[in-house]
Order: sequence, then C-alpha cells, then structure tokens
Amino acid sequence: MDYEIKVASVNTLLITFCNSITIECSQKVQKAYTLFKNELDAKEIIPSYSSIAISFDIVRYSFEEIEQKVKKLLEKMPHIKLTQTDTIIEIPAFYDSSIAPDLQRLANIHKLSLQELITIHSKQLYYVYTIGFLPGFAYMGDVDKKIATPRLKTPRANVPKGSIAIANKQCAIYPQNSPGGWNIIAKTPLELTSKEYPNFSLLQIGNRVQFIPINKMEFLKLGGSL
Amino acid sequence: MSYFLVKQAGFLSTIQDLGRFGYGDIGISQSGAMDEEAFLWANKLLQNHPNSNMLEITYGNVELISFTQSIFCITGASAPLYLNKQKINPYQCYKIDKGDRIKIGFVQKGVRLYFAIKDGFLEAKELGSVSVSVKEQIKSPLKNGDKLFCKKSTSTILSYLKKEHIPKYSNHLKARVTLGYEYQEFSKEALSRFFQTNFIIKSHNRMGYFLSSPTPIQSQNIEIISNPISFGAIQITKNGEPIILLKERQSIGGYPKIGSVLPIDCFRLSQLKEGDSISFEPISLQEATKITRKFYKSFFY
Repeated sequence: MDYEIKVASVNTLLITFCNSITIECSQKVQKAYTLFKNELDAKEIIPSYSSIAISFDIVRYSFEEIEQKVKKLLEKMPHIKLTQTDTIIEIPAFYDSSIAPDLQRLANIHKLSLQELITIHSKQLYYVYTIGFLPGFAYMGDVDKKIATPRLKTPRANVPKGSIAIANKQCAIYPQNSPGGWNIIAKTPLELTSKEYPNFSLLQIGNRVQFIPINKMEFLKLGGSL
Repeated sequence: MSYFLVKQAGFLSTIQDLGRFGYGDIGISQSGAMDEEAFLWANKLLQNHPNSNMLEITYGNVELISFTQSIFCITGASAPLYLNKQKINPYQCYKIDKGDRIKIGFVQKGVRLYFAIKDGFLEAKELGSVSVSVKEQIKSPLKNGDKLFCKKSTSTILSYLKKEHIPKYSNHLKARVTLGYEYQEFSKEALSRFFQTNFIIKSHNRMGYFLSSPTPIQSQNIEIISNPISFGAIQITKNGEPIILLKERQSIGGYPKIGSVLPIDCFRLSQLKEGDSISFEPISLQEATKITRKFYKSFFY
C-alpha cells in the first residue's frame, strides 16, 4: 500500500494515497476513511480527493504515536472491501436560461445546440469524489470533455441555492446561496442538506449521480424557485 | 423562566462552544470560539466545564438585562464594562440578580469578547454542538429582543485573574508556524521572503484573516488538488497573498499552503483588527507540541 504521511499542523497529520482525481484513488481514500473512523481515536477526520487529514488530541497523543497507529491500521487495507451500492441518486434538473446564466454561453463556446448540451450533461453518470467548500457541496465527475469549461475569471458574488454548475471536468450543486465561480447550467429544487436526511448531506462520497431533465412546471411543482 | 434579555445584540454576537466535530466528510466546518484562550479562561474562572458555551461578542456594543440569578465573567478584548452603571473588570466573576443590567461598550483593544455565565446557556445542539456557524447558517447570531435561557445558580465563586496574567493584545503579532506538507510548493527564496515580510491585515471574519503583501509570495503551482485544511493553515492565493484559515474555514481547498500557525497564536490573531500587522517565524514540531500541550493541560486537567 503506497502512501505518504506528513505534518499538516501541530495536531493534524495528512496521509496522501495518490496524486490524481480518479475513482480508483477516491476508493482508496474511502477505504482508509472507513478504517480510521471505526478504529482510530481522533478528534476529526477529513477526506479529500486523494488524502485524509487526521486531527488528534495533542495532550493525550503525540504526532509519532498517531502516525504509528495509522501505519498499523493501513496494513489492514487489502482486506477492506467497500460496500458497493448500485444506488444511483437522481437529481431533477431544470436546464433553462432563466435560472442558468451560463447555459447559452457554454452552448455557444462548444458550438452545440442547447438540447445537445443538455443531453451531453445529463446522460453522464457522475461519481462523488469528495465534499467540501460548503456543507453538502459534492465535487462530482467527470464532465464530458465536449462541455468541460474552466471557471469564471471573476466569481459571482451570489450563486443561488440549487444551482448546478461545472468547472472543467467537475460538476457540483450549490447547497445554499454562496459566492461562486463555476458555470451555472441548471437548477434543482432538491435540498442538498437537511436535518431529515440520515447523514445531513443528500450526497456522500462514492455516490453515483444522474441528472434528470425536468420542465418548468415540474420544477415549480417540486418546490423550485425561479 | 430564567433568562437574559438581549436589549442590544451588537454587530455580531454568537453562542459558541469549542466547535463541532465528526462531519468532516460532508464539509461542515468546526466553528466554535475564535479565541479559545479567552473562552477557556472564562470557564475556568467560573469553574465551568471547559466546553461550557458562552456568547462571543464581536466589537462589543451589547446590553443584557438579567431575569435570573447567576454569576458571570467577561474575557477577551478590552471594552468599557458596566454592571448597573458600575464599572467592572474583565477576567473577574460577578454575581448577577433579577433586574441587573450588563453593558459592554465598544471594543478598544482586540476584537472579540466572551460573556459567560455559570454552566452556560440552555441551547439546543445542532450537529453535535451549540456553536453558531455564520457561513453555513447553522443556528443564528443574536438579535435584539432574544432571550438567552439558562439555569439559575446560587454559586458564590468570585475568582478573578490577576492583572499581570491577563492576555494583552497589541497591534502586531509574531506568529509561529509549523511548516506543512505543501511547503515544498514554494521556492527557498519565496519561503525566506515569507518569513521576513511584515503583512498587513486587510480584513477578517470567522473564516479567516486575509493579509496583504508588499510583494506577492509565489508558489510553483497556483492551484493543486484540493486537500483538507487544518486550523491555522496559511494558504497563498493566486494573487500571492496569504489567508490564515480559522474556525469557519472550508474543509478542503486547492491553494497551496505553507504551513499552519500555532493554535495559541491563532487565538491571539483573532484579536487583531484591520490595519494591524503580522509576521511569521518557523517553529519545530517538537516545540509546537510542547507549547500547545502546556496550554491545553492548564485548562483541561
């Protein structure tokens, strides 16, 4: 098992498993995350695309002690199996210029009709690599290179809650109103976070997501706001 | 009913404890008191549990009317403090009865004050903590007319901290930094310049402190694969300016980080305001561990 352990801060160590944004890399992170969550006495464990940060109680443990514990646990990795679910989370998506300021612009840049852009985006099955930036903000990929577009040069001061946006090969949904620089191409009426959800966030690392195009009437009926 | 009525809520007053943990995989920030040193002193003086919640008051201008009986203590930034128009001291416990009024004026030195009572306020936890997260809209800041419910207390502990031990806040901080896993993204020259620069604070909030630099600090790559962000992490933006990430920092980020500011220096940093200055010096992991351990041991054990 290939990994590197480095210092993040006096009470946080960082384990890096790989160097790329791939499903294989993400699954290594998920396995290790499950292992640490179940068997390590840590204050906080934060996974990302290719690494995990572990914050520990500096009074009870030393950096070296936690490093040793982590190394020992990682020996178990080959025996860990990820519970693969075939569940696909469907996200109703209203693709329309009235709520997606970058939809037409992206179609123009990529020399596609609106319908072609919508089809290319919605037929893809996306994988949730990691969650961060905001609670429930899931970084999903990969966006088809026919429509992959870099971030805006200047971020918008306010991206409305529910906006579905892309930045290069990544796709995400803004769980709340927020500044943001991604290209907005659709909007969902679904709540991305809620106390009613079992894990607060609708999406979890490792989920597969499908966007289902809906029309204005369906969007409003599902509670969407224009 | 036992409570404090909020006559004047001030610019930004929020209930805080030491933060929420366990939700790192869905992007929920730690939140919690920005200045843990002032926070922990208040609880220690009141003989509270170290994680007892209290009000974090930014810039002052708060007025409370007591509809209860308890003891309270105010720590952190310096501001004129009054109990029923009588001047009172910070870092000192006072009895409070029904009808008593507490007035906290505008902050003169520092930024954040802490108002604590015996055993904290009766607050509902959300996601494991009572801490307000402004950015994530978890619970909300205080408004005029709010009621802070609490249990009555007949405690007579009236401890206080001797003046010479009260943390003093100045306009400059020399922050100690443990070099982090991404410091090799920076050339020797850039690192050396970083440790010799006097940075000015452009702005700040509970997410972090944004610094301006006379010359930009360059990293080899402007952006890298997003990694988790630890408390006190120093990120260099694409403009070559540092941001020190604090309690409401996002969980992961793609700008390279030089290292992390020592926790105790992060608490001191949270008392610096716009226009103040900060410089950095490296510190070994061993030294950092010694200092941080000593700090927490003095409040928890």
